Amino acid sequence: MIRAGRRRSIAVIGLVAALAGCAAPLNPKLASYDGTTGYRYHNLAADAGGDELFVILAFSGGGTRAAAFSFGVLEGLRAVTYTAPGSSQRRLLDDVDVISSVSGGSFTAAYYALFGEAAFDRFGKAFLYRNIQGELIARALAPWNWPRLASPDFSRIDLAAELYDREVFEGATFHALVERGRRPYVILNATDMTLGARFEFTQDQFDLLCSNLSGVALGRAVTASSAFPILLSPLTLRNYAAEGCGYRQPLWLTNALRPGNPVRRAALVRDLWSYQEHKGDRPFVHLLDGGLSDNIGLRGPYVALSGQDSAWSVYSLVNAGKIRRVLVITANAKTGRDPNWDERRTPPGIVDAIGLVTTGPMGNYSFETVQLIADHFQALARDAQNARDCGALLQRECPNTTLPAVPVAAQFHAVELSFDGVTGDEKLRRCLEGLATSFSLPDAQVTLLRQVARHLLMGSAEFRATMRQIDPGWVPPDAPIDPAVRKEACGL
Amino acid sequence: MSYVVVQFPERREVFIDNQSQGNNVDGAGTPRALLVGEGWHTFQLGGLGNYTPATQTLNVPDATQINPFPVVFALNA
Repeated sequence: MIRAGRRRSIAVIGLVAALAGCAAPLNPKLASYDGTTGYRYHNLAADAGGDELFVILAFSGGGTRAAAFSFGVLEGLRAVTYTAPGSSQRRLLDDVDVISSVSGGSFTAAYYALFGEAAFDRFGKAFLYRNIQGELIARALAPWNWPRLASPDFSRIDLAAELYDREVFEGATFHALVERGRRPYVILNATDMTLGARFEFTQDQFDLLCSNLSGVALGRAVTASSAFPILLSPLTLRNYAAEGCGYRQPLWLTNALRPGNPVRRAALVRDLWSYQEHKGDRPFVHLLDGGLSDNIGLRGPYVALSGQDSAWSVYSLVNAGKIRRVLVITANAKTGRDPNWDERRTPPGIVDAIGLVTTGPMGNYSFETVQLIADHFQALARDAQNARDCGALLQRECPNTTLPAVPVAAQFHAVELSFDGVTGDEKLRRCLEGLATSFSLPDAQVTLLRQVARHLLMGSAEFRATMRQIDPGWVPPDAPIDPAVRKEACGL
Repeated sequence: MSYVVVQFPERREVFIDNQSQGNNVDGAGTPRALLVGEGWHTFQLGGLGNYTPATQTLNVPDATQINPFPVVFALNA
């Protein structure tokens, strides 16, 4: 009897392991390339107000801290109303066209893209106030998961993906976003381990893999975006390019691959094209946390903001007269270093050193990316001002002469929200910068982060100036930080 | 970041790398500066095909709004 029982147990374990090994591929093959269908910017309609004000949000990584902070930004935008040209009242949230996100910020972005307005009632319970980290550990330690974890086709990342897919995103795939058919166009960013480059979950990117993004679970994409190295294993995609799907290069890609292009353009396109160029050598693509290549989610928007090499080129939209004003808001939930390190003779320990190694370069790179956007916008504004000045000078000195062309009329604004902006309350700032990077935070800290995000948005000088250019009578709504929440969250 | 001006005797829709950029001139018939990334791009016009060349692939250099890079199409005789 005992032997029979053991044999049955072994058979069950073997069956479970075998089933795990036979799991369907994460990303299905694309039957036939069609550059017009699937999860693409142009397949999502703008709000009835149109594109005139084009709002891009970038959500950084940082676990639940980043998810709560970016959710607070969405709540803030929801509270902002203004009088649009034509005297209609609008919510700024309805003007959000694109959200580009990384890691923790991807939970907020994907959830809002999927559930829209309902996200404001549900996201707290579904994710923010939940001990996701504890649930992940419990699943990893559960004996019934061990056979699956022993399989080469299943690892810790798959456990996380299952949890997010079933419990947070309710099994939805990108097809649900296509069906919804409304902006914002959410770009979830991961990192291709081989290239060390940004990999985005859009059909334009999946075309290169001859894969159909519509069949990919949103939870899986968010998992890839937040697969922090060492803690989670990489998430693996199939690259079907060698099997073919009739893929045809968009013209911008053909041109960007020509020799003689600017170095940055050439490097970006070389990475993209590698999925097709090296298709025989790359049947798989391994993805890690998007923060490794861009922890602020701004690199994708930068490509769209600085040329025609994007399916949603802002240059093309500006030239076509569809956009008059661009507003980029970055929610950067970066933390700070321990300011007391240099007060002690003994050097920081191994935990501090690992923390610096894993997050320090990301933070520095994020700073450079924010500056890149700011510098680009300044250059655009300077060019426009020079053209206006030159036109005025010509009008005065040579009235019969005009500029060779009418200048570009669009305006560009960048707003960065980070804990650095908490300037009047040093203790609060240090508390926020010391919050853990984890998928479980005390409730009070989550609430505090949401309040701080709204507070920073309404207090931002750049944001206020932009809103007053749009609507001279605009007044920011109140966005206080509750002293009781501050005390409970920070012990202050 | 660069700028081009598409020169053609008629008002026409401009395409850069197959993406519409609006018209080459404004409502008053004045040429418009168009934002474009530096490097290789393919230009063509919308509407009737009575112009040459049918498409142009050019390496757009750094240029300003004051002195945009000219992309010239000719009306067929």
